[in-house]
Amino acid sequence: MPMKAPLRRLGVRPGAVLFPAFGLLLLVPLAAAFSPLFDGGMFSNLVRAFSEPRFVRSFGYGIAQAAASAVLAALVGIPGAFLLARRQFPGKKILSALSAVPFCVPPLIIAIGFVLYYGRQGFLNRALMAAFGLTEPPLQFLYSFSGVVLAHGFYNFPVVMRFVGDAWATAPRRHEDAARLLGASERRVFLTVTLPSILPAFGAAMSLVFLMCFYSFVIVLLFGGPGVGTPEVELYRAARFEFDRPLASAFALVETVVAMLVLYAYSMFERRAAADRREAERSAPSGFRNSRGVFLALLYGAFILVCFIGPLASIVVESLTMRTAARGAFTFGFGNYTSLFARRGFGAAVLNTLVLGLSSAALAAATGFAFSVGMKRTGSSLMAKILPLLPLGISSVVLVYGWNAVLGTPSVFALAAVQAVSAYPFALRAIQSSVGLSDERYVEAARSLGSSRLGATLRVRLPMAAPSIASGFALAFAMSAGDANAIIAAPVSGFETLALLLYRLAGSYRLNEACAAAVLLAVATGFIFFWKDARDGLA
Amino acid sequence: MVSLELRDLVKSWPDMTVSASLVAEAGTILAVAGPSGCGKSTLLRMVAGLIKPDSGNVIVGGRDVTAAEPHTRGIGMVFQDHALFPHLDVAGNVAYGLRRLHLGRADLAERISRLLAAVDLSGFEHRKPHELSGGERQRVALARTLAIEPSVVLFDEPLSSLDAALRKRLRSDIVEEQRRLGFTAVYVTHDLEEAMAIGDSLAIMDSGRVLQCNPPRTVWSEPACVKVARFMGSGPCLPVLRLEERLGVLTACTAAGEFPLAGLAIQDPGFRPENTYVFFERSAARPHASDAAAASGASYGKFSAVCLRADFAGDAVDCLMDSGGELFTLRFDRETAPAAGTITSYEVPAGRCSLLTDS
Repeated sequence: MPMKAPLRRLGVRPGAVLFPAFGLLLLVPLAAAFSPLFDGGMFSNLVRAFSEPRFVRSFGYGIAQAAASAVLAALVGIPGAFLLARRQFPGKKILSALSAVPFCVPPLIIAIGFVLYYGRQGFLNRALMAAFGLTEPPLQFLYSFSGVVLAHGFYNFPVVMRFVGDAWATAPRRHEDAARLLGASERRVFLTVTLPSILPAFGAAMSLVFLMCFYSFVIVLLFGGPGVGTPEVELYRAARFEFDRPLASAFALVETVVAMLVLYAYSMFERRAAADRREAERSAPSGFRNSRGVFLALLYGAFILVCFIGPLASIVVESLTMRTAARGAFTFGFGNYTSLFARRGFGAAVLNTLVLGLSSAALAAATGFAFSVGMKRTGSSLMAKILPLLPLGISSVVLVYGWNAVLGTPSVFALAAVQAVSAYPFALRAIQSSVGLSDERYVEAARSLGSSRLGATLRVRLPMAAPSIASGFALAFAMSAGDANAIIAAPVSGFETLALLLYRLAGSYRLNEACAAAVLLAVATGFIFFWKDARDGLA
Repeated sequence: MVSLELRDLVKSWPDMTVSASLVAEAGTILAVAGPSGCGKSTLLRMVAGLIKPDSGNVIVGGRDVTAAEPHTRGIGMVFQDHALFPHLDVAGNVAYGLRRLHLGRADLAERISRLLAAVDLSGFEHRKPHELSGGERQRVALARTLAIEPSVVLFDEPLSSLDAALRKRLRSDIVEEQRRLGFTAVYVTHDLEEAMAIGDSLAIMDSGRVLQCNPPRTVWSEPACVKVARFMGSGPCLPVLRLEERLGVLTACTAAGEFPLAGLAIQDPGFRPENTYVFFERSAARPHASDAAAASGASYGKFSAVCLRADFAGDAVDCLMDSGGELFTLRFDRETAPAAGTITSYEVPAGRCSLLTDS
């Protein structure tokens, strides 16, 4: 009997179990990751770290490449945002669909696509050499700072396009008209009315892209070259190859601090953008006003096609290309797929990917839902606003490194936990947008009709939020299944996933098979999105 | 004071065409009312120059401004939900349109405080829009528009988001400003009561067309067609079943009534009653006094109706009536109102009855 009351309390409030559990998944590895810093005194360890030239250089490099990547993403993304928000044209759906790419196409696939397309022997170089009769490949920037920035910028431009585009589409038309009637020129209308209303979303997108590039692992590892890498890569090197745990911890601590500052900026921007979204009214976009607009839009489309779709398409082409012994000779067919399927351990890798992805997605979506409900209850305390975003500011490499320290050995559990934690902010963002969660009146109605608190949650909130929980789940699944960071940083012996297989194939220059694996992985991670689109289209 | 004239203004979309000719006399308020989606906001935006019409002209004080930029038309506009710039304070909002005057700091501040004083908001310069009440926002929006000294001011449902009591008060504020400054106004609303109260003339729109434009009293008692009568709710429209000669007087027969039509004769022998209705202003109907019936003869229309519901409305009672299947509302004194469920005969002076068509 004495057990019963607390148990029932826990049953009634699933959040009461989920929050602490999730907090543990986050805090335990984090504490473990930082703890080696105290071996021999935190202060002296930090001094030692800062006196190492590569420590400071690595942060300089990490911040510079993330900032440059965010700027590139903005330059590419903003015209797209304008087109999505303000113009009606055929092919708009395709442009809009690209915004799923940064979330559902793993960075590893992007990296391989860039190698195939922009590399020395890539499609673009071969095409340019053939077209202009060159003997040397003209583009040789891939394995450098510019290569990293290019890959990051293009990979993440859809984030800017989506965030800014949404804000632009809902930018208050009436306010713009009011300014026009008060004598403002179109320039002044844009500067004084439109721009202030899209700035918060722009700031949020920029800080998110910065954060994602700052923590980017695979792309920097592949393109960064042998010199100093980002803190994330240096942390991995220090921990895995030099066994310098205090240095690794210093990297983890300082990069987390930097990320937290950016995260704070993100949450401020996001809150202001969300406030703007509430009072938004959408109005129909118009057609192009003149042929110059059409021309510029076509130019932009061609640019996206050549620079962004090209690398993605070249993966598909390469996966269907079978190289023969003779250099340069090839045929098309499914040979790469058959040899991939025939690989030992392929079936296990697929199964592992599915199990790992589904379990971390389930964890992320469940926590996301519990937290969305919980946040409605706690109101607007600072914790409720910052805490859900916290995992955004913590790298999966740091977490998996922490788990290794806790458990003593790499484990599949740690991978699932890390991936769930990393995917969860994105799942939460998708879930929070649901009407059932944002409007308290439905729950009040249910409770006035006699539902208990739990009943109202289960019978009203959950069904109403189901579509957005599904998209949160899909997002989390795509991110976990495609994630290679955690598993590269802490490989579990005998446990292979598609992403790891892909990484190893690419590493051993079996690019054709790697591409076949990439296509399969992209189908697995993108499938849910397309399925959901198709279903929503019918409904 | 200048007048505003819309000459055959047309704007077409695949699923909707707005076409209108209207005149707002100098220094008066033209109210435009109609159900949502009837094209009244589109009309206003064409006048303001925010939408280009396909054809037709906008004439302000004799000057054709159809091709002019919005801000050179001498037109100001007060928007639905006010559209105050959220990132600017009250002074910044009011000063927005004063920029092209290139005033000095002190002149500008003086100008702003004068404008704010005119709308009773002295001292509000540094408040942000979100710190204001709905009524204060409305008055800032008015001050911002009046700052550019427009000769025509367009109001696009400016009060629709406010509660009824505040709406009444702000409405009279707008009229007061309009009388004081003498600008010509077009006031668009879906609230009929507001339109009748504020308009010197009243235009009724439906499906993109102007059905009638007259002083509000005329629109109320002499609607131009059935749609206007139904929208105004000023009286019933009873479908005519047939027209007959009775004692030399043309009489319209409805399902439950007969209405002699004084001074009318059948002009068109092929007259078809399908889309013809008898209309009379609801205040003209009164309970039938049996002894007077014989004396009145052909000078009264008669109909019987059952009262379906009687709604108490303070000093009057609104009764939902059913006459031969046609439902309408009559307003009675508390003493004469029928109880729900009773059938009563009513009479209407023949001179107050008219025929409307369902155009």
